[in-house]
Amino acid sequence: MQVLAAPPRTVSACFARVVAAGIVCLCGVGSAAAANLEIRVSAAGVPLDDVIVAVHGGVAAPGGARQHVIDQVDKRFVPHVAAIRVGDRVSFPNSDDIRHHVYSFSPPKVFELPLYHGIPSEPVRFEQPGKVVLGCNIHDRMSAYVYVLTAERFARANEGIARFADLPPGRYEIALWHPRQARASEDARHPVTLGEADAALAFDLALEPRPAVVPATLSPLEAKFRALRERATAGDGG
Amino acid sequence: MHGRADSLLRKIIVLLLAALGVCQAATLVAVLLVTRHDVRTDIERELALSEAVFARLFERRYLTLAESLQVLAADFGFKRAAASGDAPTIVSALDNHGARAGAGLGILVDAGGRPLATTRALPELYGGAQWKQMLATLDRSDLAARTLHARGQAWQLVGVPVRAPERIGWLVMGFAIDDALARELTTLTGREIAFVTSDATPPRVLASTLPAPRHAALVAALERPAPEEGPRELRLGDADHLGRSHPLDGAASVVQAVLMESLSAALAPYHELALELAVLFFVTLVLACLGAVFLARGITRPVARLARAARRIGEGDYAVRIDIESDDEVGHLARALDTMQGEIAERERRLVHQAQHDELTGLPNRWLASDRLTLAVNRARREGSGFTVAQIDLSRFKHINDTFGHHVGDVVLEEIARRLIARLRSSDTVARLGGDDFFLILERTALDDGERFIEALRTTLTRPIELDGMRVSLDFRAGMAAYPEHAEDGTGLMRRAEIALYDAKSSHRRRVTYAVGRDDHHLRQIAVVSDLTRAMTNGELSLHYQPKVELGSGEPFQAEALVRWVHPTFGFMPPDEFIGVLEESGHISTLTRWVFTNAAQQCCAWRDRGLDLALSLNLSAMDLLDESLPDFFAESLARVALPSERITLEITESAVMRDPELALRVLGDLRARGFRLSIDDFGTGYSSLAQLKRMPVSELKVDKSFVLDLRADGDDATIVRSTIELAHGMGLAVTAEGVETPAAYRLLASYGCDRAQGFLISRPLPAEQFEAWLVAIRDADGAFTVAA
Repeated sequence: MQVLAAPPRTVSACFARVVAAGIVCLCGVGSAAAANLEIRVSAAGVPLDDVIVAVHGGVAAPGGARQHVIDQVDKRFVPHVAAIRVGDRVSFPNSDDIRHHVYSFSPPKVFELPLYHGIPSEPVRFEQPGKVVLGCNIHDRMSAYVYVLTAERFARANEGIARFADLPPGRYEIALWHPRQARASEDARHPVTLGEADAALAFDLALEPRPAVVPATLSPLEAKFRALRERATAGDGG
Repeated sequence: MHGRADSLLRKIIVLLLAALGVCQAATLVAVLLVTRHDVRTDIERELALSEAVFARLFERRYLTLAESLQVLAADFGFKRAAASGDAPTIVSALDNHGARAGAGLGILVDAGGRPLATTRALPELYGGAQWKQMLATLDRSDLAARTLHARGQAWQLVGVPVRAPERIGWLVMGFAIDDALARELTTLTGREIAFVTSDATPPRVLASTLPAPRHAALVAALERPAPEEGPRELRLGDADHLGRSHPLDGAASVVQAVLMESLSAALAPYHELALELAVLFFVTLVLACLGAVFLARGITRPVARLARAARRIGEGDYAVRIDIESDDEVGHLARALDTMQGEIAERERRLVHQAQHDELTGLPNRWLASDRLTLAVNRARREGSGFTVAQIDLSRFKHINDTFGHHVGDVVLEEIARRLIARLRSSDTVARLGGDDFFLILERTALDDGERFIEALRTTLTRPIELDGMRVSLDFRAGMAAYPEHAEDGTGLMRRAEIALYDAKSSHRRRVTYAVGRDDHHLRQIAVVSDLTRAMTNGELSLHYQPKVELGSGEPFQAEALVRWVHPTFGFMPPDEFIGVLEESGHISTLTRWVFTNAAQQCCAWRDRGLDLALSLNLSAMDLLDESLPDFFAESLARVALPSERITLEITESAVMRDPELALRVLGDLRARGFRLSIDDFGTGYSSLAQLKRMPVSELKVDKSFVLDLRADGDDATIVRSTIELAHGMGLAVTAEGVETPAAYRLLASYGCDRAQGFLISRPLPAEQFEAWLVAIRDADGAFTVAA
């Protein structure tokens, strides 16, 4: 639930900004036919979790459709962010002892798993690429993001680092996905040309501002509401 | 005086009323001000309370709406509908839920801020800045609650996000703010309410409980700057209001509510109170006015009476007692005034008595006597009757005074006064005129009765008076006059009685009644004295000259200067008459000096023209008692440089009789200074030869009574011849007066008389004629000759 962590207040822009802040550095280490690519993603200088890094180009890794699992543990989807290939299936087991009602109104995949316990009979197959936001009709705060991708390679960055090995030299496009990324930056592609040497790239991702900035004027009720909510979220975040 | 008392009255009233008026007016104003302030404070407090109530009510509506909205936004079905993007479905859902919440407006806004579905088409609302502001707030805050207005319509809106679970849009619903809402809130708050825009100038009334005609007034009032704190004053129509503005959404407000309370209505009961107070005030003032008049009258009425009394006293009326019995200052003043009036009356009576009465005898004085006399004349004239007056004078009183002293004289006068009073009737008057003169008015008494009464009085007054063992006996003289026979008025009567008394004295009679005509003679005598000074300067007096000739040679070189008086009223005055009067009155010395001075000047003038003359002048007996006379004569002569031998001074034998020593001393002085002295009218007096011998004279003038009928064989001839012989024997020259015939002239010459004077030679002539006469003689042969 990084989404609910304390907001990086340094990011003030409301639209997505992808900045190639790193330096492409070529080293003579590795096989002559392929190179390793390391992508570092941060937001306002802070390494970012739950970032999906997709590398378009090259030849896709072999293999058919896969099955993924998004568990529901302690009224949370685990993982919170997942990336799958088009045509993959996702299973939504319920590890809690209460029922959940998983749904998605996202256009790439609208579906509903009405209240259930345990493992539903069928996993859900995602045929359309795009971002699918999952929720629970019972528990408003539960949410998960499934990125249905067409990229040849993709990985989820942990502690802001995603590594891709054995990339043949050539031209590639890099896309970054994050639940809170600015909407404008969602479809951005960052071209990169790889040689035989290993490369490292660094991105600083602009996030949607959290609804934290108090507008100049609030009506008394708005101010009261805001105060109530902030007290609630502060309790949750702790 | 009345004016002053009135003005005091007015002052007291005005002062009292002014004091009361100021107090009452101050009270009234204070009450009204405090009342107005209290009422205002009450309204302010109520307005503040109402505003708090209003705020809670309005917030309650927001909350109600917000709760409905959150329920709707969380509804899975609604979310599904919203996510579907199917507008008709969404609108129907909005309608459905809006009706449930009582909201008149429902909008679904998509994630891009566009209204996806609305229950009412309000493009001007969705396009406005206020709407955008609200969406911005929603975007950041997840809740928007504010009141917007568009096209004169206000909406109380609440917006919440719609999540699935990520935010897919916003749900906004709202209540219309209209007059019905205003009325409802008015019933809850008790105040008039108006919803007015607060983001526009001029403000616009969106909804209110006020009738439409007052909206303009409200707008106009709101346009004026609001006070720093407290409610603002709003003049709506004919009523004053206090109003409080309440911004509906705090700083974000574009609409405000104005809560109003009528100050006029609240004050109306107090206006009635003010009216009652004013009536009370007026009634009190009237009562006070009456009281003041009553009080002031109590002061000014006695003061006015005192003023009248003082004026009356000033006019001399002391009879009326001042009747103010109060024990206050006015009473004290009244009693003081009363006492003063009595004392003034007493003093005035005393003064009048003193002025009208003789101090010694207590008899009326001359002043009162003339007053009484006037009254008597008036009465007699009225009654057609007559009365008699008498002035009496005590004989020998001066002698008593001189012999026994004034004290005794006073006792005598008192006794006489007592006897007079005792003898007179009460209607008669006896007054003391001064000294030993008394005046009697015998009322209704005819002259002969009066004369009888005076004679009867004599027996009373002559009765001896006992004085310390002495017996003094007095008689009196009386001068009488009667009304209307002798005078028609009091003054005339008094004067004529006095003239009669004078005549009685001079004729040594005891009683004389005024004789008609005596007064004129008396007046001439008075005129002699009073007119002398005038006569000496204006030519009434003149000197005539009568020549004397030497019987031997006929030389006319001596003359006697004789004074003449032609009075403008009385004509020629006989010298004997006026000289006698002047001698008696003591004025003869003045005349003597005038005569001497003028004679000397004339003599000098003639000498300057070559006429050498010796002049003789007459001296009075009185002149011989004047020791300064020789000096005066000497100085007069010295001024004209005339030797004293040229002047002969004639005196009568009797002139030295009064005070022989002094007279002889003066004569000696004159003789020593070189004047020649002559005895006039010799032979008529009683002088002794011894006396004659002592007088330093050089000439005798034989009295004309011996000369006028002088015949050689008469007694007169013997006297004249003897006298001439006597004189010559004593070494004196002789002049004969009254020579009127040549026979007398020749006889005198034969007797050896030295000089002759008389009509034969010339009557006394004025200076010019005398000069002409003299010049004629000189031009002839220088000597007077008697025709044969």
